[in-house]
Amino acid sequence: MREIITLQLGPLSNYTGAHFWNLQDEALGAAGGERLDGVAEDVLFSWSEDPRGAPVYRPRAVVVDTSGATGGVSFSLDAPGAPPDASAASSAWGGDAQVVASGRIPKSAFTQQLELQSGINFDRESAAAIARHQAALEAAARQLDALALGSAPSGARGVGVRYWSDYLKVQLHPRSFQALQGAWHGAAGLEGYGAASSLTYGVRPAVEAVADAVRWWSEGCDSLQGVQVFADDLTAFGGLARSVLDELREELPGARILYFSLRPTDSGGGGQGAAAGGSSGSSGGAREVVSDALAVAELSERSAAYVPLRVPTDAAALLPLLRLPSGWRGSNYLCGALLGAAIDTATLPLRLGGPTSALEGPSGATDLHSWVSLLSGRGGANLAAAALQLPVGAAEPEDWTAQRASDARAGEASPAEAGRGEAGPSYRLSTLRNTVVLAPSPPALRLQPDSSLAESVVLRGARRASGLPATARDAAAALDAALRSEPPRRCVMHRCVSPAAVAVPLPFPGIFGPAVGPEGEVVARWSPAAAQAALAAGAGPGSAAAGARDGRHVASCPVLTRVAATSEFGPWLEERARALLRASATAGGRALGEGWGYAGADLEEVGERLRRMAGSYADGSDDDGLDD
Amino acid sequence: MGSVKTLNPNAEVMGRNAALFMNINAAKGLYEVMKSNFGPKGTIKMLVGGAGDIKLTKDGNVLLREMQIQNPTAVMIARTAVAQDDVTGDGTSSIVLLIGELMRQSERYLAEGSHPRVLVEGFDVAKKALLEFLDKFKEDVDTGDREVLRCVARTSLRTKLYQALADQLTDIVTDAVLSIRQPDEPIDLYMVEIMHMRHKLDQDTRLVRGLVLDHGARHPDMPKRLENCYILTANISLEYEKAEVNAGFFYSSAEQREKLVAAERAYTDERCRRVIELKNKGIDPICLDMLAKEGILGLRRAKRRNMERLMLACGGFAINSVEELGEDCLGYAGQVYEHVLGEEKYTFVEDVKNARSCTILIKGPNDHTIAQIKDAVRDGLRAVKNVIDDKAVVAGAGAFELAAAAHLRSEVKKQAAGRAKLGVEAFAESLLGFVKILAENSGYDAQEALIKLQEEAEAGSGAPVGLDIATGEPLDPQTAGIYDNYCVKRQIILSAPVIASQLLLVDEVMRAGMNMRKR
Repeated sequence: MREIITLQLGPLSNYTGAHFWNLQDEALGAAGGERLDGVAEDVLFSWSEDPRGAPVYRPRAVVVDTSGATGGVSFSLDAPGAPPDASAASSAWGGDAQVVASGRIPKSAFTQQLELQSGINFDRESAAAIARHQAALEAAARQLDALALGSAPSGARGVGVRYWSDYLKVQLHPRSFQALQGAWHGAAGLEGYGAASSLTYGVRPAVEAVADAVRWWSEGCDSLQGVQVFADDLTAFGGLARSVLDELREELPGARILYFSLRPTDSGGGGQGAAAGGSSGSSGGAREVVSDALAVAELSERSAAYVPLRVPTDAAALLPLLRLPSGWRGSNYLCGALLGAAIDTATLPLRLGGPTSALEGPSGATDLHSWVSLLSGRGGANLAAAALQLPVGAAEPEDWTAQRASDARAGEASPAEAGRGEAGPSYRLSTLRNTVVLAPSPPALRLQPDSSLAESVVLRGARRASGLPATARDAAAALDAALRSEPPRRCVMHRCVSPAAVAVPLPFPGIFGPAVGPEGEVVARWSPAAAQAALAAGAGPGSAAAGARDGRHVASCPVLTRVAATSEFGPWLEERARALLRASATAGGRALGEGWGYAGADLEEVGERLRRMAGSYADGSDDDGLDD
Repeated sequence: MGSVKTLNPNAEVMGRNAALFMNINAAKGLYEVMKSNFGPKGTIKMLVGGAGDIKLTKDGNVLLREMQIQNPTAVMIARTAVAQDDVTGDGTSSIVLLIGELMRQSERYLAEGSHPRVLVEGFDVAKKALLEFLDKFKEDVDTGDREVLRCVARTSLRTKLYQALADQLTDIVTDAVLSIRQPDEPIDLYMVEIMHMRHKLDQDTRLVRGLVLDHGARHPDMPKRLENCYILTANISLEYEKAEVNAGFFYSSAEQREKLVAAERAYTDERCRRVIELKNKGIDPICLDMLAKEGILGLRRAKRRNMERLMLACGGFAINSVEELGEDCLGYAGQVYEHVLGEEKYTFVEDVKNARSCTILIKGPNDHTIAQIKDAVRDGLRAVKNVIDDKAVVAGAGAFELAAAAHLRSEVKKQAAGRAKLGVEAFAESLLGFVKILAENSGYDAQEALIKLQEEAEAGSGAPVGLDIATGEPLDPQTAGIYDNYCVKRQIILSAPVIASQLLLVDEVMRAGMNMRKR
């Protein structure tokens, strides 16, 4: 009964959120009635009964997006089945009615299948019928990939993911979705942190609606842990998030706010214009720099922990077992999948506490309050970064000493090199190698162990080199071994190990490479070269291997995440302060700031805050009290 | 236009004619959209979204909100209309229509070779004269007169809902405003809560003198219905809270909770009455259990605004600490009961002594009906409030526009010097456009109706003449009880000519330099 309310603001957040909820939903389904993975089901979901007495669960979520962003899906209680006509209007108006209808947007094949099958009572169906339904659903899910993975069969136009609602498996409560009035799906005008101020209706109505929806959910919570926020804060939703957080801190004074700032991959925070450091820099560059600085400064102040997440452009190289198609950087569907998987695993400790089987219980359950306190325990700045290993390599607790020497070298080299380097052909459990740091650059955060201030490592469903699942004890031992073999960290660590792997939902994109087995194990003798070769072969059209292993063959997968507060944020914040200073020195940057309601002095203050936050990392490193 | 090109070869430039044409077209486009839903006989618009969701509206403001407007000129007009709604709560369609009419009339003169500047001068003269005329034309009213308030509310509501429902809501909104009205204090419409239930029919909408909350008790043993109760509004958290500094567990409020319950028990024992409490903060299950044992109905996490409303409705004041608890902080309500509707629970607090806060409970079978009534109620409340603030009303049914146009032609035009006459004439013609639209939407010949009205006005004694939408004949709005808000008309006259002038005076449109919209 330690409820968490989820708040999603913005398109990428909703794409990520949809994956996040699918993962939650799949975990519920995989447990099949009695759940033994130790996850308390009522942390994220609110349970009730429908009129027929069947249990209904709804995410305790408030979702904000532009008008029309849900495509053909409506969350309203009114069944939109019948085609509307003028006669329906007569209920509250006696006179004439004029119908203005936008074309009906077709639902995705996947959503249609889900709706079709929601009426079926599977207990009464024959095995063959169930198999047929399952096959239809799988075929529909495959269509989602069509555009994203670039393997669309010719003539299958219009399939693929167009809206996040196309692949969302979970039913949202009618109160959960709030459209931002005056902002339209696909229309320009929402770029930049402060852009919401130029909306015709402003953000006030949206903020009140969101705050009221959150209050309504919180009323149903017996002891609210806190609120987790996913927001696209480099867009107008950032400014919206600021107002919403202000409201929430008044409305729910005790609740902790865990803030995930989600950033798209194709536009790195700062961009080249800022990195070049020249006097030039297009207005787009200035906009991003100012947005980034404002978002980090204002939102970290209003939340208990601020975690900026972005899939780096070289993620494909860092996660060699995945097969990311060439266009993944611009795809919210694919980036959202990685971000959603990372958030899902990183926040697992907050959801643990449910029933477990006696022997195989997960360890490391905690709550949002303690978790956030751990990460921001050093006063001042409260930033954290996350790293992801997907899938996790073989977990062998015994041979860590043998690995130690090579891993120590690998730890010094950059993670990218470590992934491809001569560290051995085996793909092993590691918190450093073959992991991707999901943090916006510049400068790139490496999450080096020696700069860690506090860490939370979560390992789910590790497997032995033989491919068999490891017990919680073995997995914990293997994780400890891996940690010991790596360069030492002198920081507070939180470790959470769950024996249950992440169940991969059907609409999760088929991004797994041929070297990943159906249970997420690393198949046979994996080596970087072989993986590349297989990748090349698999990508080729008409190859037999591609048919058998199209990336959708994985049912569950071990995942490892590392969330760390690191002193690398010092220079990271400095960089943002400097970039802001440069941008605000130009006429374009100043005009931009003023358009958003930030005068020159306000921008200076923001820069000052960033520098102060950066300074708190520099100061703390000398007397962190951990020297022994 | 070449100069911008010299500075920035990528600039997009639109010359004077093209710019004017674009502005006039945009204004006319919005005009055409809004025209058909003006007045009590206009058509309602049913908007159907991509997901099949329905929105029904006759309200200009709602319509603008639901339309995706991209043309920059149209956006500018829409913003003016939104500002109009912010200030007065009504007149959104009217302002769009007046701007459209002004642009239409101007187009005629421009086609004949007039310079926009000439028209703008005339608009300015006409605007000043109209503001003076409006002050003479308005009727001062006694704001204590309930009938006048009802007339204004009815006029507003009848343009948005069918007649029977509009008449029912007329009393509801009038009474709502009257009950929260305090002598010598500005009216705070936030003290009227608008709550909705998907239940029954739109005719079941009613005024609750008290408060309706959209949540109920969270304990099965709590009473569902209480009579003669005390109301305690507590701003105290009854949850176990962890200390902020340390990550350890501290059960810090246990003692406080005991004290509170003990104190409450003392009251309940003494008075044999029961206490309902409203919490802005949370209550944890253990506390709920303790409260239930005492027969106390506890509600948690009320809206902050509902706390204020409850204090105004029931009396008493919110306590911020257990120590403040005393009999004087308690409010009173005749009955408190819970209503369960599917998964949703509602709590009614009724029969309060002197309600200074009330709730309009909107019922409807589906979301779009509720939304439509909600928009109408909001406008009705604003209309009533405006009368009380203005202490004046303006005769409706097109009477003001007709009289104002006659005034512009007969007096102002004569006084205006030289070429400004053209602008005054255009303005007068534009005002008559309202009467024409009204007649047209009601199914009459616009010209014929207008001429009838003008004849009647010239022959008459100077009393305002309006259009009877039922017959197409002239009528006296005063006897029919059709009144509009003074501030709405004033605001329209103030802002519409300004925007129209700005649009007319644009002689070049360029998109150059720093382009914020494009990457």
